[in-house]
Amino acid sequence: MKRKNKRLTFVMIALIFVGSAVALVLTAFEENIVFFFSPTDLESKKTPTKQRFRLGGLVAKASVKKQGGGITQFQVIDATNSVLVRYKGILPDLFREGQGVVVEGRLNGSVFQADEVLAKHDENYMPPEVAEALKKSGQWQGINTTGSKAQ
Amino acid sequence: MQIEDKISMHAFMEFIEMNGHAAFIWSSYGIVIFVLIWLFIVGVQFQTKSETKLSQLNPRPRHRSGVRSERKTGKQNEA
Amino acid sequence: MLNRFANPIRFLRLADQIQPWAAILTLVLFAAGLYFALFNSPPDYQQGETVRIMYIHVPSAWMALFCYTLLAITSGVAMIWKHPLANLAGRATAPIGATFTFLALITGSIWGKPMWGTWWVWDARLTSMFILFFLYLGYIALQDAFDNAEGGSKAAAILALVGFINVPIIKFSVDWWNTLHQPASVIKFSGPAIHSTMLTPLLLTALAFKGYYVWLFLINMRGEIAEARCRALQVSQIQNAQVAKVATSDARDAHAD
Repeated sequence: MKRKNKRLTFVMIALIFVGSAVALVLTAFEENIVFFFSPTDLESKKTPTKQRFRLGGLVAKASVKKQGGGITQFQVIDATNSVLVRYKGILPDLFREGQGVVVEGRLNGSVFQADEVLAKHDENYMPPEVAEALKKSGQWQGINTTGSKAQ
Repeated sequence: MQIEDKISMHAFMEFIEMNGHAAFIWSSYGIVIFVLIWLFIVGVQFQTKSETKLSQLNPRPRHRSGVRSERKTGKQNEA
Repeated sequence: MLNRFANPIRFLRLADQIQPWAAILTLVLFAAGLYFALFNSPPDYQQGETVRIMYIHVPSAWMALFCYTLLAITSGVAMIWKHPLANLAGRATAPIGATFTFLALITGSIWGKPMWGTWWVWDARLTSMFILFFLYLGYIALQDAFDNAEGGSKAAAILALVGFINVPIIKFSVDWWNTLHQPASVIKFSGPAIHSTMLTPLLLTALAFKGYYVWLFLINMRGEIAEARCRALQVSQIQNAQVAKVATSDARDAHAD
């Protein structure tokens, strides 16, 4: 009896682990594979605009405007399209013009009302001096090439 | 306090503070080092435990645990 | 080739030779890695000092995938060739892999909060890594889930092999799907996108973790081999006792006659 109990608990634990793994895989495939939509997806009506969804792209250069009451407004762009985003709250450290961003919220007319802003960084790592030197010599390619991956 | 001391102290504090991200950086390094040492201790304990168990079951000297098993069985015989 | 190491005594002799080197290499590489990671490397142009978390996060994630690949290989060898040490090697590897997966998840979460602005999101990379952790736990739990050790090993080996599909999914998740997690920096076609001053600490800690794996694997293997011998001895002792019982009762019967 004792042994049988032990075996039963072990099988149960294993089943719970395997079961939750499978459940996670399924949920992942259901909704989370597409973590965010691009402005172009929005334009081509691929996005369920009635519900909450995530929008991803680059923060357009010179588009960030701080308004009163902690409200920030900016354009999220990809290679061809752009969407105006409004957000109230604290922005993450890496939120910068020209950097990747993923915002979550609802589309309100033509303005995306975000209640969460996540910064997406690219795969390039370098010291500030090197980045400076690259920009000066015109060899800068990091952000723009990887940014278009948002599509 | 000497000026050089102040500068080095300042540099040290700057190093500890990690530009305001101290909590994130030091905690992640702390967790990694703590967990890796913990896992290592668990491994060593498992080895010692199972080798002692083997030497008690098996009176024949064998490889590493053999040395220990001879001593152990000797004690058991005395008792 | 395989048969050369089939003998546990031969394996242990080899382990005796490797272990001190693994220990020295691990400690030296880790000390050097920490020195470069914390003292002698520049901040990142975007992330500042927080980039230092990369030097332990990325090697942990590599180890998680490396250990699972080994787990799948040992499971395959155990099932196909019935190699006596293969299953023990899997048992010795699984806790190390599970620990590195855990560390990759935790350090990633700590890194994500200041950089992304969140501890966790369910994107394809993070979710598939989370599943890997559960695959490890499932493997460990299944090993001892059956009365006969062989059944447990077999079930765990099947899980390890089926779950291996997750490894390429983790690797390519950032390329196949939209994720919050950034794409690969080091292992990619166009060469590393990390400046050499930052690549140094990364590779040093990565090698230190590899050394740590070898070191702890050998220790775990000694434990597993001793444990396997104990199981075999207990079985034979029970059989001997039964034989002895039958013999004494036979003798008693004979005496009574």
